[in-house]
Amino acid sequence: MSNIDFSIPRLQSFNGIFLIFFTDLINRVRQNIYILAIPFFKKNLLQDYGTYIIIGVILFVVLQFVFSYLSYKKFKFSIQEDAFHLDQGVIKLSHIEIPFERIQNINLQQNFFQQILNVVGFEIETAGEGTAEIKIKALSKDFAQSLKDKLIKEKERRGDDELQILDDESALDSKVSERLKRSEEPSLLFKLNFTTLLKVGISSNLFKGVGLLLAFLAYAYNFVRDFLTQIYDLNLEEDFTNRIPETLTFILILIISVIFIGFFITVMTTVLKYFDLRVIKNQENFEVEYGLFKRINKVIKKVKTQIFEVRTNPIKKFFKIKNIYVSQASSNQISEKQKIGIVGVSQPNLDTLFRSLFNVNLSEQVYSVCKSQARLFFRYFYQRLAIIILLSFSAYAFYFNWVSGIGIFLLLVLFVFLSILKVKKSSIGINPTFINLRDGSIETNHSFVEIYKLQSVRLKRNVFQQYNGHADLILETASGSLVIEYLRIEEARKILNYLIFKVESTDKDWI
Amino acid sequence: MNFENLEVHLDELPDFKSVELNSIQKRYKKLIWINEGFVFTLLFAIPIVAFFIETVPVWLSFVVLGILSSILAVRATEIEKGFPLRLFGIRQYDIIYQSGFFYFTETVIPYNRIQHVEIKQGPLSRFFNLYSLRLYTAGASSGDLIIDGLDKETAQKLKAKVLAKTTIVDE
Repeated sequence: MSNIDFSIPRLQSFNGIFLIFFTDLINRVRQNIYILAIPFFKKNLLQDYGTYIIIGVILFVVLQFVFSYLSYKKFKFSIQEDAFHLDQGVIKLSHIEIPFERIQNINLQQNFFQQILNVVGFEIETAGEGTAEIKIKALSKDFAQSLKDKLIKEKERRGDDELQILDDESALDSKVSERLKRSEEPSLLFKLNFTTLLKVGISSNLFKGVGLLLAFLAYAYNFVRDFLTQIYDLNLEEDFTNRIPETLTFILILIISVIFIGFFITVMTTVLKYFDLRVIKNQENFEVEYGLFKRINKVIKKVKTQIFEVRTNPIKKFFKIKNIYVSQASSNQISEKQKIGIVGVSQPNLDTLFRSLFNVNLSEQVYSVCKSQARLFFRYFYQRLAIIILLSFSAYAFYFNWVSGIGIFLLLVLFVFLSILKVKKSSIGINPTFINLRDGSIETNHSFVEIYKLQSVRLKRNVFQQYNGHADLILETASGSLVIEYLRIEEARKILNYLIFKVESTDKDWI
Repeated sequence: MNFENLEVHLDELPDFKSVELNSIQKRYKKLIWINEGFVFTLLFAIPIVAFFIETVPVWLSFVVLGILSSILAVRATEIEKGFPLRLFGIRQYDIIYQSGFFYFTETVIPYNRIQHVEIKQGPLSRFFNLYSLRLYTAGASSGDLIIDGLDKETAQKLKAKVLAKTTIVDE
């Protein structure tokens, strides 16, 4: 460890000025993107007002630079006796103080700009409300690493101090021996190679990419149409509607190419996002690192791990890979984005990871399984039916013909098929240590939760379920709730009794 | 389904259904109705006022009135039928609360998972001398439990009981 004096208030790395400037500039431009459209409406704009525009732009950039420079100068951080201190703000000054013991995670990451400028972003996560989180945009790599080490050291020392007060000599001894044991070097647990990454991309849900593409196309279409109708007085919509019958082949080609490009986009985004994924075992915790342009570094803490998800689908099965998503304790419901993803994991690596997180073997776990009842189908069916009815109405109101009729019918068949799959897959497995929840339609997800990590359990029954003897079982964890729908009421009750009994008879704390 | 690998026999476990449950204060229903009445008076005022504005078509006001009435009917059923179902129970290691007519939920929270306890009183409940008890668990607020319509004595007794249990487990 380097001997840098962290107690002096410091600025960010010098390159930070440019980073702040560029990111601010991009944000500003993004907020005012519609200004770019003005030239289309006014002819001869550049000739008439050229100089004013250029002066305006220059003024804007200079002001922005001054502001960025000031915010760079005002952004000061230091480590004092008890806490990490941060001062920031140009107009509104703020001072943030984070006591060491409240620091939960420290993440280093690099986005594209940060890579160019050779700096790293530094994030401190706390257990409390999201507002106290600290983000430092630009630090030199070495400095960030030693700051991280220093903070972790301080935090650990703090933890030991508390222990010294609480515990007697013998406990201290065991602590020391534990420390010796813990001082093992970080080791690379697993690294994703490029072929596997490609396989992950290919086996990803391609509808994400298709959705992205469609959203983009819709946006572009609106944009172009607005301009064309404004300038050339052309009614694209009418034109388009009139030609539908002749252009069926065109539509077919369009759909196929959308799917094809969507597939390509999915593969691309997956590859960019998870490029060079590494899992490093660092003492009791795991560091996960991935990304090409935006390098992300996240820490999986053993004690904070709440839900361990394993996801597969038929293509992934063919490639023999699985995706793992880990949810950690948080004060909010964890969103899909906040889960830590480790993709393209082989079965042996999955076993290793599971063993190191939970100290037991995944393959040795035997569960008593309880399935969702077939009635669940109607719930899914009615939900989907609502969509179908809505679509039919809009199809009827606009251009109703046999094409849209067939399309809607096919969609209905697809929905029924997916609903049946969903009902078949929905189940809960229990053994003395774990809950294993299964769900999914084409894909299969298993969520593993240690029973002692449950916060509370509830049964929910709507009027129909009260009448026909079913219940939804809801499990609350520190990273959100898990639901199993339509269990038989007696079984749900038994499971609830058992889980509550296990939580109450454990002496382990949930974190 | 068989539960053979679970070490204990499931039928021997204490059933949360066997606990005797206590109801909350009856006057809390009045408070709900006053709240509800206030909101619905405001809502109903909109279409009624609209009758006298000529630019708004009459049928629209009727439709809005119809929708509001059906919502009111549903709410009324929920309050009247659901109120007797709001019950809480205390066991040795956990607290049980059930509520809801259209969505009947039964929640069990072990004392050793409760982070902290809060007794609250709003302006209207001060008038009725009622308190609500909020039990916080770790994680999202969906896991928290709120018991409304308790008198002061019960609320404090519950709080003391829950806190005593949590600290005992801590030691």
